[in-house]
Amino acid sequence: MMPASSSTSAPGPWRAAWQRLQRQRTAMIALSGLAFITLICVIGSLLYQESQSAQNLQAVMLPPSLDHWMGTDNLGRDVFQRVLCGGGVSLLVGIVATAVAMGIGLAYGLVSGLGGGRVDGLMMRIVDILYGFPFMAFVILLTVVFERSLTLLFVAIGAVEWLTTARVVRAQVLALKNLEFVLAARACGAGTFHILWRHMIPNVLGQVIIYASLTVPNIMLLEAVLSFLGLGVQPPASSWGSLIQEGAANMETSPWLLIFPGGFFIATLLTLNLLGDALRDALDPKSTQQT
Amino acid sequence: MIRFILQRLFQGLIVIIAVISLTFLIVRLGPGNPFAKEREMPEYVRQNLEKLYGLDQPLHVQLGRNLWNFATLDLPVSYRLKGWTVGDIIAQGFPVSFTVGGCAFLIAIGIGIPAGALAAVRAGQFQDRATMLVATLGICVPSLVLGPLISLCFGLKLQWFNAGGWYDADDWVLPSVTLGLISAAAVARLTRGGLRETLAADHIRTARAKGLSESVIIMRHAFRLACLPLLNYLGPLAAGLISGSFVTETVFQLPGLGRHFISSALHKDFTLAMGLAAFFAVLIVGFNLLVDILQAWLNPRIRLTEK
Repeated sequence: MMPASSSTSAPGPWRAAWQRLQRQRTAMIALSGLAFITLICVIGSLLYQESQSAQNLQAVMLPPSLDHWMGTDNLGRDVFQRVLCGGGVSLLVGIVATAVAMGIGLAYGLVSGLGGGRVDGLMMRIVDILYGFPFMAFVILLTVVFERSLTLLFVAIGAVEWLTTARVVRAQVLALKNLEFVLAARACGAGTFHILWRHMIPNVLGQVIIYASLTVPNIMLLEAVLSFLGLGVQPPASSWGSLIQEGAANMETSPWLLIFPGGFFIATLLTLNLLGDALRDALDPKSTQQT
Repeated sequence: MIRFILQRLFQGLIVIIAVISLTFLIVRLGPGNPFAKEREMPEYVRQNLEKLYGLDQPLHVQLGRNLWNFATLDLPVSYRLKGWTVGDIIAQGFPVSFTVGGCAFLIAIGIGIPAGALAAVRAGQFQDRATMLVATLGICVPSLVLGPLISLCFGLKLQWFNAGGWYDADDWVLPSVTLGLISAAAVARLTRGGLRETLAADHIRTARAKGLSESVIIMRHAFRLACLPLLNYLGPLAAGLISGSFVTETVFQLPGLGRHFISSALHKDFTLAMGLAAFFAVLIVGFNLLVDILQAWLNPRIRLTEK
């Protein structure tokens, strides 16, 4: 007989993953770094929403000082405030567009995997074909043809980044579909929706989270490229991409315009990538056994 | 094997048709008109222009004609650069993108593969940690930051090269280095991962037990298999590099395909945008096919089952 207390001593899968994550020192450093950057960007966005675009033509292109921690730009705007507000936009795009992409990929993969047979074959063939698309070109065309806005960015980026998620989810579903616990649920009379909601989604969620954490930096990069090319976030709003573009245009005389947004952007990508690698180890028991 | 290649070719054909049709639909159904200028245009001029470019016909006729034009390589004339067909522009821009991208690709594999192999062989030791630290940093430095920095450092400050433009014979160096270094980081990580996994496999243990030297084991037995996951990355990478990088060509002001695409998109030059998108798709399809063939050649398991 199992003692009743064993249910409390054995941690659930999510808590076990969190404990494994805590044991990795780089992961915890990356997590605190990311939390810090996110926090100051959120607070900065709230505090400086108005004043970040306030021009002061008496204080143009000033190097960093106590008054302006990161200097000022060619219109006398405070770079510190603009970097924080731009970071807010970049992070927002990264998170929302990733959610859009994961949502599409999850739904597509579930339908394809559960549908099986012909449906599955056709849906996966479509994914194969879409992999051959020059996606950057499509996103650029979309931003040019339609009116540029944050919503368009979410949709355009989300619409191109879901392919791998769909493949991962489908493979998981195919593996789970014929396992005993699903068959047992089906034998008990559970409907497709119940099986989907109670058995499939909780089991594929770990994989989706791993992939999402690796997708966020990619999407932030995509957004930065679009804004750098002048196709993303439109002035007077800013994102790290558009700030880097302004910095690159003035880098010879005022390098701080490039260094600060660029540094923040690189630091964020670095913490996200480190965290993604660590999450993969923590959530995927197979990979921890190997290392 | 031949059936496999034909299957892939057919799939590639569908990709290209889909790309042309989708670009066409996005462009035609979206708001905006390539001839909408600041100045009001007399009605008869607009009608004549639309007739010239076939815009007055129903949508499916236009689409069909577009596909037919691409199939017969009778590429349409650019809306904006009058007198230039899309083919002329590709013929002019592709050599630039190809030179820069090709050199970047060589830099990427020339640095990335040896570095990744070294890290895998010395797993856990100092060389491994140092290489992987640099590589992890490298994949986080985007070209839009590295490009301006390299241009500032070697172009404006040291004046070793032009900071931008396409005038001298060595103008490919800075953009190629920018693109190459960034891709090298990812290549190094993939090489290390693939090689480490292979070095733990059974056939390597057998080779060690037979007393083969470490270099023979790595070069002849491990590397072939370790290449397989790497190839999946290198194919699209080569296609992307050769077709021109949007950011790097903008930073260094190169007259390549990436910049042509952006200016065509910005100026609503839709024939050019459509033609370039189709050309990019052809490159991607071609390189994916090449990867499939190489993988079959390298991996007996694929080769034998597909026969």
